[in-house]
Amino acid sequence: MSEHKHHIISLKTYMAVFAALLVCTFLTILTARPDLVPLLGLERTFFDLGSFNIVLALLIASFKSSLVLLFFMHLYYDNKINLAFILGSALFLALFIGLTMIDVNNRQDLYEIKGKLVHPSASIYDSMMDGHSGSDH
Amino acid sequence: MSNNPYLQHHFVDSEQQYEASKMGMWAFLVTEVLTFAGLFCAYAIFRAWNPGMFISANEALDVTMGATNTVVLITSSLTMALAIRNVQLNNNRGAIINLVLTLIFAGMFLVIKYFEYSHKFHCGHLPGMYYHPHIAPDCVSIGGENPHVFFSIYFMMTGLHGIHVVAGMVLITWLIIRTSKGHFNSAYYTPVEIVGLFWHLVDLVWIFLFPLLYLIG
Repeated sequence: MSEHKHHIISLKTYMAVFAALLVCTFLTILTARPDLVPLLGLERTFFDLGSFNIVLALLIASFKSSLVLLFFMHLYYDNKINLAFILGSALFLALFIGLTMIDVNNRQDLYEIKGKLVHPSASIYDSMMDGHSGSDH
Repeated sequence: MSNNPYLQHHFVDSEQQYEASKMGMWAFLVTEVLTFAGLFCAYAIFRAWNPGMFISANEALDVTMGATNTVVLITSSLTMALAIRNVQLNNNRGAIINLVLTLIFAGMFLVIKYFEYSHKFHCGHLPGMYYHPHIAPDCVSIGGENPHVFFSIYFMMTGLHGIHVVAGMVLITWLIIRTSKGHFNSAYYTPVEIVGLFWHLVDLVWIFLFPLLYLIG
């Protein structure tokens, strides 16, 4: 029987990853709470990138999830097929949301369309029953 | 090393069985990512259509509680990873301690979530047709169109995530029982590894949910 040794990640690595995750959590809170920034001795606007705050927040979240995937979930040391699986899912997630957002943001170039009022009791069954979408204008 | 009593006859050896189980779990995690992807997509569409309402409704969420829950979940991920490390080192006692800590952090997460949810119920900040905001000093009044949609998305995303936390707690309890019976050691710990992967996915989803729901604007 083949006795295979799995890589055992050192306590130091785990603690460094944990510390990095906590620091990133704090940074991501700062992007949304400029009132906390002066506590660091920085200008209040230091983390305020306006509409790019969401981009910054998602970049930090992606970095945090990479750390979790590579070290807590051992992908860095693992069979690379598992890494391919999760990168594949990330690719399709990006395609799914990316293409949807291109549609949502650019369809008004073709014809007049915008977000509508959604009737609070609208349900998929209503629209199936009376043949039009359950939204009011 | 004696033969692994859990080795099934259709595998060549323990290592092949371990790798096959783990790859199966990763395939399942891919389907989990794509399940949540539908909800993230709904979030993106309604946020693009109602940007002002999202900023306004976001103020009804408690950043302190959300941030506390983020730290609680990250810490539980660390203790889960340390539980696996202890099993790999044949330290049964260390593994049980870390699994129990993980379970406690998971419980803390749900308790904090309970307080958040009860405040939403108190304010009438509920999904769809159940949305009936109260005018009260401790309740934020929300401007813009379709605030009920924000709460549909909020409850659907955090609710599905919460169901995963509960499932994780059941699985971790099962691991604690089996670890205390001495079923796992450095040669066989596949269930610990697999449940660990599931638990880290729960943390991954929250890493994205927290900034998207609580930190808008």
